[in-house]
Amino acid sequence: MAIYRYNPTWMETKYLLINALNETLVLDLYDFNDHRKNSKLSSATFDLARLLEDSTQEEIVSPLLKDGKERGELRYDVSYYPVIEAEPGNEEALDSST
Amino acid sequence: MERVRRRARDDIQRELVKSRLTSEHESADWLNHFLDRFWLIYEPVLSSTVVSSVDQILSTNTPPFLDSLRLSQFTLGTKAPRIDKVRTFPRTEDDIVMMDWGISFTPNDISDLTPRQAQNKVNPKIVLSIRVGKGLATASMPVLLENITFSGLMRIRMKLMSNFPHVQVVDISFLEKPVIDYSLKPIGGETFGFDIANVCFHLFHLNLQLTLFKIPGLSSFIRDMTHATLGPMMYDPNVFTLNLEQMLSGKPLNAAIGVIQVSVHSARGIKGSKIGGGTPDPFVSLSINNRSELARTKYKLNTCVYICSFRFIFI
Repeated sequence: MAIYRYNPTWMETKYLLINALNETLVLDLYDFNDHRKNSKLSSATFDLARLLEDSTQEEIVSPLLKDGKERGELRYDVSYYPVIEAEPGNEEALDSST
Repeated sequence: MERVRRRARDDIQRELVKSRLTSEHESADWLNHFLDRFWLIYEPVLSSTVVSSVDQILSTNTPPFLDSLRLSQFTLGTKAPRIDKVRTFPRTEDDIVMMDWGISFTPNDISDLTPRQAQNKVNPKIVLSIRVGKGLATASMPVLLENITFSGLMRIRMKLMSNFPHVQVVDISFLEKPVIDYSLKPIGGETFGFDIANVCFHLFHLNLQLTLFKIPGLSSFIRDMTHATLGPMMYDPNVFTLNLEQMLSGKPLNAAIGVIQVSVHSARGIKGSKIGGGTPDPFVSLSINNRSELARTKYKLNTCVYICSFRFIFI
């Protein structure tokens, strides 16, 4: 009998728009299936409020949980880039620079 | 002499009113009359707002024994809520208005309606669509919420300012847990047919309806949900803050406040295998608060650097 442990590497960067920092980022780990529905293996969560203290959080390791049981761990970075508020009267300058 | 007396009387009257305001509740009949008329116009707008916002909350907070729970119809009827009593606090800072309002909403009490009003009365109606079962074996059924009553004591605090709209912030909070009462009733969507296949289906349907009556958790779940959602939002000491200044400044409320960059490196020690053998092809899906998926990584084909730990079973 073999007990497999999978250590997949993605090294991918995604950008998400967020509306509030009091929410939770959910990272779900799925198993890709060609013809059937992708099945969810486990998920990890990250509290976006942590970005208030430090807007760049690197090398986060979160437990991957399924039904309260730990099913491995996930490594990722999260950085937060707030929207730059346009100063009234200065909006044109910002527009032309983009 | 006369002028002095008139001024003095005016001042004394104002002060007397102030002390009475704090200690006593007053009724608000004039406002109730206004509400009765205004309600007919405002209620459709309010209902559509509620449907869209509550539906979102419900879809993410479905109890485990149900497949999905949606709010499909919501109307509060033609009878306006009533303000039973108002208490004002004059001893606050100059730019703050603070009031306690006792509010009740008893749309099914028709004793104080004129016959004409009773004729045109629309009852409040809330329809929830519930799907029970797992996977393929699910059945959807609408559930009707009836005989709703609500009463509570609410504190409203307004901060005034000199620019339009002159009210900067409105804080609303319930001083005590409001009383919410209702009855749940499943409704059959279809009419009975003579088709044998249909009959079978209806028997199944009926059975489900009966079991739904017996689901002990559902009615109290919805009540607990309401309290749990509203509790941290607006029960004392929490306040629900409406920032009118910001709302009316034309800035959209749901505007994004920023971007987060998520770099998914790797996972370690994933356990679990594919149904029917094989190794998983894992990918990561990103979402906020379990709402719809915002991004996903590519999947890795059978990427398995497995730490083999073999255990042989000898016979």
